[in-house]
Amino acid sequence: MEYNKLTISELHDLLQAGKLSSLDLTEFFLARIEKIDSSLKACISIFKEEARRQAKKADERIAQGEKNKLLGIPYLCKDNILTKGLKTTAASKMLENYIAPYNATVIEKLNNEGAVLLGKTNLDEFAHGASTENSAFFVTRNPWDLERVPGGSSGGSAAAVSAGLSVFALGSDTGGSIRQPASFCGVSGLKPSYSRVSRYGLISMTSSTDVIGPITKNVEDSALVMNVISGFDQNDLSSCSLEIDDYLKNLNKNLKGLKLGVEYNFIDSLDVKMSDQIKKSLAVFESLGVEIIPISLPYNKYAGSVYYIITPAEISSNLARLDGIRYGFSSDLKVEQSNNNLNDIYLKNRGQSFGEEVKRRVILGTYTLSSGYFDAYYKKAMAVKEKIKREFENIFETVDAVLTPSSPHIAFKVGEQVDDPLKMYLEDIFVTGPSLAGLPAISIPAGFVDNLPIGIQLFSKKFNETIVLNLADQFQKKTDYHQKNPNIN
Amino acid sequence: MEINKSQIEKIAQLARLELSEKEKMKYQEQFKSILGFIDSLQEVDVSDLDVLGLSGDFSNQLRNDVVLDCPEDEKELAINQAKEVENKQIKVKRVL
Repeated sequence: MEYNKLTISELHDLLQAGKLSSLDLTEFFLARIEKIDSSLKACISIFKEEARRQAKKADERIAQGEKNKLLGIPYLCKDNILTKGLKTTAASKMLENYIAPYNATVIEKLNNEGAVLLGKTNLDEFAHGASTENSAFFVTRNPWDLERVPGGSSGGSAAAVSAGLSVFALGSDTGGSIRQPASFCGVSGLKPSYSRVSRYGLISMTSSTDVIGPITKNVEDSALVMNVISGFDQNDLSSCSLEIDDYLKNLNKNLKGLKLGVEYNFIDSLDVKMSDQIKKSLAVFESLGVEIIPISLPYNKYAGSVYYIITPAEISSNLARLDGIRYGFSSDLKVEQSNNNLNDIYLKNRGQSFGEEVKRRVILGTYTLSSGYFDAYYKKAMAVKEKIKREFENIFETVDAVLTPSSPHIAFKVGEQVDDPLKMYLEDIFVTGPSLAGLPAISIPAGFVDNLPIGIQLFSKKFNETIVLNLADQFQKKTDYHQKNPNIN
Repeated sequence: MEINKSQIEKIAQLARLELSEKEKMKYQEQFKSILGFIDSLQEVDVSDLDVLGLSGDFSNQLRNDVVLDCPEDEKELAINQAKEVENKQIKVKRVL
């Protein structure tokens, strides 16, 4: 049985009917990882014994009559989310041997639900990047073409779900880090509204936009994972206390009369094969009774510039805690044995363990926040961010949701852009705006160009995950792009 | 906007980052194009806005100032990651 092709609901039914045990399912995926991941390189750590222990426990709970949807379902988690007693590296030399002392709230919630953690996935170091090439350990490959990148920064999670190494995976998204790799790997990836999911235990990058979200085989699975991980958390007072909708129950609502905004300049800027394929998805929505409304988003072109001021600024502050003294990489300087002062120890610990992109961002952020430049950069960026946010608010007075491409092109080749940081920053041109505005946004498969998957992004008003998920789910009921699998075995 | 080598060195000190000569050269070069890119914001008129900090859809959520004890195993896991530990305390260089 090819369990790697089944969704959460299908596996849930098999587990509940006693046709399959969680332990067998876990062994199936552990064997699959062992076989495939030597070439794919999606995973940083695999916790075999811990996964077996959790699976046995899930089987006991199933035997006792528990029916949680994710009970006994194996998953992988991006390695910037803390897992108690287990290695959590953020793909950085700084945290290469770091053992998390506590669980992130999302991990705690999945534990309570009975999901089985198989291991941790690769990312760009501290989630700084759009290709997973900035990992300090190795480059993850795209399962559709091993010569190409999976996107990033949640590239390990997207590649793993695409290749069927786990049923679903967690990622994090700051300016596109779930959606862009989901589009490159042909899977579904939801960035929830800002503050919808607790970030307690997520290694902070850009606190004003960081969000944890699911990467899954289809939209229904994303809804199921969201039902478990969403909600207010005492340990993260930036999490919102609004009531959580039942995301599963809200799928299957009739779309007739719904208005979907499309900025045609975005689509027409793509190469013709991409734009033709994206236009086909507009026709699918029209066949579902959705009205397509042309819209204009003139401020969106500034989203990248705003992002690359605000993000490095917050990174320079958030990464200041990493000094290698309480935990993390330590150079050979010992406290008592050297004549160096404390400052030298900081310089060496950080200088020797941070990768190129991390340093680039820390320096850029320190610069734009420094005296004399603050108003021209940070303050200006915050004001333009507000313009972008208000532009979306105005649009949502006339449309219910917006559709854009997820990425300006298909997955690029490993090494192709690695020496051009600015080009890499432009990867997120369509996905950064919704991040800055805190909106719920999903990328779903929308076909193939040159045999590689492409994605469309759907987003809506803040906290309106239900409409985003419903639109995306209905699209998947009319198309089969999400059911195609890469030929990797 | 350009950024010269001594500025890079000063910022790296502020950020507590040791950089090699090669890195300094590289970043100086790359910052030309990155700063050129973000400078595009200067053309946007924001005179009607004075925004700094969180926007309107946030309000502070407070909790009572109560000490919650942390499980013993978590304390141990946290402390034992330091390079030098003595009597459950982390040893650092004299700072005064």
